[in-house]
Amino acid sequence: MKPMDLGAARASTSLPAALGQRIEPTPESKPLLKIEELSLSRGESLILDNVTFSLRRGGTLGLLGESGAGKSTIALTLIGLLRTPEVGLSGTIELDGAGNVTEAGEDAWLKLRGRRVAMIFQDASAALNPCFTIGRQLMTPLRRVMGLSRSAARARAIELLESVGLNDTPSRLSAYPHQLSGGMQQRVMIAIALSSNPDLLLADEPTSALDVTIQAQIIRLILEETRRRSASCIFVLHDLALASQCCDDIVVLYGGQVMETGPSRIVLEAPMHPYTAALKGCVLEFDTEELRPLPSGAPSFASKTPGCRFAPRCPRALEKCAANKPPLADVHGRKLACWNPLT
Amino acid sequence: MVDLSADIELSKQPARVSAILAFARSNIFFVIAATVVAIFVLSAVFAPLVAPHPPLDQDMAAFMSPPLTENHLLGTDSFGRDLLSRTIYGARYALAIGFGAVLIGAMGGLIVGMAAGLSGGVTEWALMRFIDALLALPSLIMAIAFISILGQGVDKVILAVGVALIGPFSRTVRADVLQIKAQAFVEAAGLMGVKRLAIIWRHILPNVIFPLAVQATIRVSYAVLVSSGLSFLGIGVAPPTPDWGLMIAEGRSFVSFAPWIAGVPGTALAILLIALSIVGDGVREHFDPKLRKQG
Amino acid sequence: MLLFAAGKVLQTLMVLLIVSVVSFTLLKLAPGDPIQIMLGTENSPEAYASLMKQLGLDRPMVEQYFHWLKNFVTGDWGVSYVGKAPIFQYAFIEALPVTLTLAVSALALSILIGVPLGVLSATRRGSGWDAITSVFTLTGTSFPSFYLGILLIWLFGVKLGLFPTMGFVAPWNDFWGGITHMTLPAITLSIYFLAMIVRMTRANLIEVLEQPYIAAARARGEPNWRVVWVHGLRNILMPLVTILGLQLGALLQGAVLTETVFSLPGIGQMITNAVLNREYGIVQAGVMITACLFITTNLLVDLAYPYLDPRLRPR
Repeated sequence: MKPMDLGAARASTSLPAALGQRIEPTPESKPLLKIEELSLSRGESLILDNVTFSLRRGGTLGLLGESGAGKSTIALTLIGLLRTPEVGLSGTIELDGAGNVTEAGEDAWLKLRGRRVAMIFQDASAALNPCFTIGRQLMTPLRRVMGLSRSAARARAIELLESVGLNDTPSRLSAYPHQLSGGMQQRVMIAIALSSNPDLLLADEPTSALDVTIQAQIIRLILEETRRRSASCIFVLHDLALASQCCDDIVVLYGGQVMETGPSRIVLEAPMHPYTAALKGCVLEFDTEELRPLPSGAPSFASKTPGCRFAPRCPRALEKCAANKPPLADVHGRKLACWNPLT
Repeated sequence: MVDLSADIELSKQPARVSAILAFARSNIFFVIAATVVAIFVLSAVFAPLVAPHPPLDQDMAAFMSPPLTENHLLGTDSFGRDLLSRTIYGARYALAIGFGAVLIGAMGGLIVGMAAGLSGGVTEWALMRFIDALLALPSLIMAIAFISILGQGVDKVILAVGVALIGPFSRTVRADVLQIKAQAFVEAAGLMGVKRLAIIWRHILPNVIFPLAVQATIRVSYAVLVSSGLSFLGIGVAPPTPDWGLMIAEGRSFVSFAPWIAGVPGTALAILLIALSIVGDGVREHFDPKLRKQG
Repeated sequence: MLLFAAGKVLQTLMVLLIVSVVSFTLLKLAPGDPIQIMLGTENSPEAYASLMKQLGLDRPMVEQYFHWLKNFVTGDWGVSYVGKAPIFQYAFIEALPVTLTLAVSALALSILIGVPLGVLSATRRGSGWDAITSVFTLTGTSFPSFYLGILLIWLFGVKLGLFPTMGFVAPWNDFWGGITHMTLPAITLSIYFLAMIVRMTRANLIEVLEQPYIAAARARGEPNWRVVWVHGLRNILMPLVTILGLQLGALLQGAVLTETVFSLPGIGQMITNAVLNREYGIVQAGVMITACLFITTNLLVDLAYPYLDPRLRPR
């Protein structure tokens, strides 16, 4: 069974028609973002463990996993917001045109944040400052980052708000965040993120705080607007169905380790890692119920384990899984880190 | 590994001792402050044994002698009275007034707050406005107003400061009562036909007393501050009582050539207030469920 | 909005009315017979009766209260026996400006210094600077202000001779003299507030800086100083103003003590002397003025809430 066909079949049934044609990957072009062996520790615990993936210009990538898998940590690292003394970072984050930013200082990040990299947060109602008007929050970056005059910034702000689908825009500028609905707040967040025409847009679960009915609209809006600007987008998601619809590539994370990564059509149609399969909830050789729950909620990694982090919960775990970490190897059109994959 | 062996060693001791040790280690400031307060309380109780001189004795040979003078470790005041002895006796007044006033304030607050919380309707409204009115006056100003009617003296200061503290106490009591009243077990008791007085006595009162006691600990330092302020103004405790506020006021006139007259009792007062507020904060942090959740 | 304000004003008036009843009762409870005191040595039953009638003291209590309230509202506060001057003039023209000058300068001092100190210790949590600040806030909130005042007199007045230590000079008459005379009293009174503001700023700012909108502001490329001083501070205004309103009582009672330390002829001195001279009318005036100040300030704080936090504005 060819994965391509499957993807097309899915698209005809569940992809919103408005998403339109996917831009076919052009592998020869230099990737916009290349992450290699990125590790992040906070105090004793290792939050990211040798994460490696890359993202081409104009592409969309989904970071998948349960809470605590390190998805949001990656997003925050990519915009330079995890730069406290207790956070230890190693590996490389290569951003096209900016070089390796792993060691970049605050000054270097100030030239990237809100300019080349922008972020949409999970809960727009909490991510908009309650004490400032929409207009002020939208126009400040326009004036400070883009250097627009007051009137030009205002005109651009109205334009941006219209492009994200807000009506009655001039009066919206003087509204406070709490006066807007959740969907509108997220649209405003998108407008702010897009205001500087970033190359890379990070969307941290952009729809998890919204009604199901608006989720599709917001995702569609992000895809359309990033595509129009030929920007790349990284979605942080826990919903596989959504990922299969909006991401070219996905990275499945567990406990800060990459379990499986590759084109979403290939990985999600025929998961090879037991964890991806479990996430998908599909019954291959075992039921989801067989996943052994951890003693206390989200996985915590106070001590560095030598093996695969998923091993304690994995129904297919072998003896060596806990002892040795499986390498991320090319298998069947994807990269996979598992000693005992599904076939 | 080192930690592990330490744990094992601790667990050999009775559980209570190790718990106290762990508490002391993590709350070093609290322990120091509690020790300071204990020293003040002990020297107040055993003042006649600790103090080198009676507080009112005048040493005709040594007026305003500086600290470290022979026979007078911390010097003497303008009447030749030994400052160390007067300060030790002063702790009696400070603590007696502080605790006495808080007791009165807490009792009054309990009555007013319970009444406001339990009555409802017009009575509650009226009582709330009464509490508002009490709270509209700073404690010191209200205590001054009461002193103007009662006159000076230790007992009157206790009463005046105590009454001035009723407002803040009754507000917290009322809030607690409302919270407890809304809880299921109180409603259930009411539905089961338990008499109203029995509910108040068995369910509401015990749940109000404990937070009130915590509040009281916190407010002791405030009561000491207000009462010594009254004495400093010259309208609290009457001379020649060895009250710190009064001693500081006396020393104020001599600050240019005998600063120790105000300095000795002032430092004692400052140390006691700081220690009391650390103890109060510690007690609140340990027992206040709201703060605990945050921490 | 208007309804909200009207409600608040009405509630405030209600409290003031109750304060006035309490205050009137206080006056009636005061020991000593005011007529006896006023008559002094020329005491005859006829004179007594006529003065009693003249003052309206033979009428029922309730009537007396409303009579007193009418006089109070119209500024007829009676005459000081000792000073032989109208109490209203004494309180408002002589005493109140002194107290207000002291209170406002202390407040300004503590805000101007306290907010930056609090911001510094919130943004440098766990640093040596933060440790020093926390020791200072602990000491500052419990140190007796009147003893601090004496220490300042000793250090800056006696030892260093930098500042005058007594009396009041109105800054609107002699600006420099007013400033120097107000320096030590203002520092004395401000220490408590300074410590309080540092503590509140620190605690609230730490909480606010953990909010998603702060991370979002950073993600937008806002520099650190703007994130803290614009986005952060704007969001702690409301708790800060609330605390200032609630602590106004502490400011007023601190002012009473500070006035005595530095011999400033303000409301505090007025009340203290009145207690010593058994002039209950003045004590009552002082009580009413303090209560009015406290209640109106808290009314203003209440009315300011919708401006401080847009979420409280009606949609």
